[in-house]
Amino acid sequence: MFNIIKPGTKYDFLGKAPLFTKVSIAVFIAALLIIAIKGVNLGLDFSGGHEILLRFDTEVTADQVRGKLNELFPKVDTAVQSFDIPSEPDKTFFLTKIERSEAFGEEEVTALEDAFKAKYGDKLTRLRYNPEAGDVVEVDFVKGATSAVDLSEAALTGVVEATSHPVRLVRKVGRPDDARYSIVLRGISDTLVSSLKELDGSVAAVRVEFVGPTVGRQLRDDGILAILYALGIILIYIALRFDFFYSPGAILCLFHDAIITVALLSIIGEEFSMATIAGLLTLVGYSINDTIVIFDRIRETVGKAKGAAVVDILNRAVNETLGRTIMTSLSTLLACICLMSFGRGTVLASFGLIMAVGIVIGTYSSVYVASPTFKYLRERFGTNEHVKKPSKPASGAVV
Amino acid sequence: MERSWYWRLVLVLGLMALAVYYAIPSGIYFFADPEIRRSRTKLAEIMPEWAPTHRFNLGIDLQGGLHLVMGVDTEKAVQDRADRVGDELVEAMGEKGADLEQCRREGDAPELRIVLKQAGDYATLKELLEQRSDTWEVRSYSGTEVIYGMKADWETQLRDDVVGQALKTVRNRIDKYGVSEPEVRRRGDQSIMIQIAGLTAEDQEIIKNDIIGRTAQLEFKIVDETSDFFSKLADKADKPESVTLEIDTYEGKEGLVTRPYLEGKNRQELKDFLKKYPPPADRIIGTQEFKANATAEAVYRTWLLDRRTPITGDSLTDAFVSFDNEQNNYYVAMKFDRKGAVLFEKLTRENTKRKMAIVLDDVVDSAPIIQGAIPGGNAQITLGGYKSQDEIMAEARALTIVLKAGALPAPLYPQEQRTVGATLGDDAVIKGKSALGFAGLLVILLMIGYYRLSGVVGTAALGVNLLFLFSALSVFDATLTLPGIAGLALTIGMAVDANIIQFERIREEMRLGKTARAAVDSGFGKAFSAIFDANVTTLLAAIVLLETGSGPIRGFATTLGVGVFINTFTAVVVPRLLLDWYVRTVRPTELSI
Repeated sequence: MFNIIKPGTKYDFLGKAPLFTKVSIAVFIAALLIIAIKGVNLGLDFSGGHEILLRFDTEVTADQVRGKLNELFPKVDTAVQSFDIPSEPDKTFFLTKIERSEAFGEEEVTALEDAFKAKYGDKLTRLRYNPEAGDVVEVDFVKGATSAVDLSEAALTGVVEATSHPVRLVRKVGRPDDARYSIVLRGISDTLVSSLKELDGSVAAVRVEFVGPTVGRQLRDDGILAILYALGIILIYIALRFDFFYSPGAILCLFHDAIITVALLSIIGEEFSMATIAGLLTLVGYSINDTIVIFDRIRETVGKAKGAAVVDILNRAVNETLGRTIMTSLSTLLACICLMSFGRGTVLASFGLIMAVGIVIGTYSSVYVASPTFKYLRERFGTNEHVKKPSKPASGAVV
Repeated sequence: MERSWYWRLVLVLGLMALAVYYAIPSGIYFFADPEIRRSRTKLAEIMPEWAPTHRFNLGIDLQGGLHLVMGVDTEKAVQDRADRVGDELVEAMGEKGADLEQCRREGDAPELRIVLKQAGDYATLKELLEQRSDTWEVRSYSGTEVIYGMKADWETQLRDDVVGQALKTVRNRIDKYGVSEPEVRRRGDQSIMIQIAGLTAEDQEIIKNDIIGRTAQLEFKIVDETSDFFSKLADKADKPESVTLEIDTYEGKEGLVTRPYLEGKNRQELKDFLKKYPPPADRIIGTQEFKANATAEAVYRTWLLDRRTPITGDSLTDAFVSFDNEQNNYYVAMKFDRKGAVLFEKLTRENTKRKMAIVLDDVVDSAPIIQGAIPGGNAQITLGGYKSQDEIMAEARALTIVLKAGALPAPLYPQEQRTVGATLGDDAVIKGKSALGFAGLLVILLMIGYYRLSGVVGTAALGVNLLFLFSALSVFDATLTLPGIAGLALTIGMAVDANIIQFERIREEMRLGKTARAAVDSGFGKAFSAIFDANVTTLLAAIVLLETGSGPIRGFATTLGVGVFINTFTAVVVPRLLLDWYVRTVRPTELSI
């Protein structure tokens, strides 16, 4: 039998706890500060906007694409980065991001309204633009205006296109005698692809992602709510299964792991998407799993070692589960490395990264966040008489 | 060996056999060539006939496709409705010789400001306004000015109906377009989510523009009562086995009418069969999906309809559910405009006691019997059958949605759109397969290298675990996405962890000097509580995520939750079964662990 950890190892883990508690608190606060100051790089899922993966058969430079983008969307934040698809090495890929989901900003709506007024005067009764709807402008004219002014498709298209917004189609809506038209603009991706055709005819949009402004907020709120509810339920379960001395430690541990991981992702500029949330949830699940294994052993040891000091019980539980902790972390780390190296360019890689970071922090926090919290609560509020404070500074000697 | 061991063996082997059976379609699907995977017909060709019909599906991130969330502009629908009511009031007052000075909506709210020419006309107006007292209310009245608004609860219901109706229309059209396995459902209060996997770029364009572009076409058509077309079709040699001849019986004008029709469980097979035999000259075939009851499987039946469309949904101004106090039953009330009222009266007079099909985008929704000539543009559809009031109410609601689909357009606008090209999806599958493959291999090597024979036992348990997961995902018709794969990775990690906990525990027991057999017995016993608690906590988290999360989070939660159940069973039962046999039959002095 080969052992990573020699049987009977009695390392005084909890003896270092006061130091590590300070370290943990400092790192946790630093992490919160980093998140507050630097913020996280919100991906398309949460910020809204367009993300388009373009494929060219020929060599096109990022600057050429960037130039076109700036020309098309002068007032919008855009980004272009080259992208690697290993299975198609002879093609050029660019990931373009356009930080806007709606066709018009507020100023542009006013400009458009002015353009319509200039042409149609008081025959125009209303211009309706719903930013949620993104690409539709509805214009209303007084009844019977058709005979007085030119309301043909070409005329309406002309007014809109003069403000440099390409029109996809014009539809007459409302009742037959109404003079109401709905003008549908060409989508951002269509506009981009057709204008890039001038650069190179082979261009194709292989992936188009568009998220509207409210959806992004909704997705984000849903994600955060889901995590908070999950934490609450776990707290209650651990309290019922163990007792109330255990669950605060487990929850602190989860917050500690999640916040520090998020801060690390913020530092390296990793983008936050739904997959990142899924990764963080996995991390939370994994971290709980790890904490529960140690708690389970503490619970068992408390029952066996009557009269022992809390710190000795904790040390014994941590030492006895050490072999398992290392084996589990090692096997999961191996899997994460595979995800990172084979899944490059997909969410699998960012998932592997989050998990790898999380495992290291999670293993640490089970020992140095969850256990000391338990120790503190037990010593401070515990009335159970067979657990008492150590009579002398912890030596690591058990029973 | 003890008797209980054999029982456990039988249980595990039985479940494994079942799992293999249910995993077969998914296995064939997952390992098939991407081209075959994307085509339903090609896939059906390689699928053995005896295989079960359930299997999992790859999400659009793994096989390419379209994910679209369309917002329904209910605001506009409500305003349009208010404008329409205004127009009707103007018209009705004009007919009574009491022209209005003004009657229009002034803000965005569904509220009309009505100005009378003479204060004395109010009695006439009041009579008209009271006809709508269920849904509209007079908010203020002074001299010649009346503020008339839509009731708030009615507005809420109207918005809800508009979304329901848009959903129905979109689903109808996509079904008609015939792509494989579209998923169309409601998301939130005013959005519709559409997910179609494995589409070509052209298909994606057509669907995007088709959905946005058109308003539904609602038609009323009379059902044929003489032709024996379907009975003849039933005798054809190439009739698929799933299609059967059925008889529809109802009380007609001259006694009992018996109409043959075809019924099939598989819509595509039924359609393909019908395509080969054109109906008689002035007839067309309509299909209808229906269920015998709420839990029954859907079947598809045919209708032979008059080709002419005497009246379309354009003539319909409103449809709503009402309650008939005398009959003590719900019914659907329809209102036609003046032109429509004349046509409808003629249609119903000429076709009393015949069935009239309500057809939306060429799909029959229902075919009630016309009870008599209906003048005045107000018609009722009574829903019969031996159903509870709740069922009738629900059915009536559904029917009004169909009826209004043609009459009340609400524009759809894109809120979220993701299209993934097919090759990109294939690339993700290849990456996913190799990442998971190598991860599995390394973990197995580590387990066997460290725990020796017991590591082999753990690997066997992992294999059984994966098999169960695979078939569970198939049985639930789950959609596998990249985040879903992440959920799988977590469950597999937890399964391995469970084995590590057990093995470490057995090692500890052996160090205490116990025999192999005693160490295995107590080791498994003591490891159980940690494994149980860890899995229950994860299961709770998965349930919460499933309840509160949306989209990809739900996919993740499903795989996680299913995985936990399987884990708790396999990780506890399978290694125990093998090690029990080993220590009792081989009786090693030292356990290889």
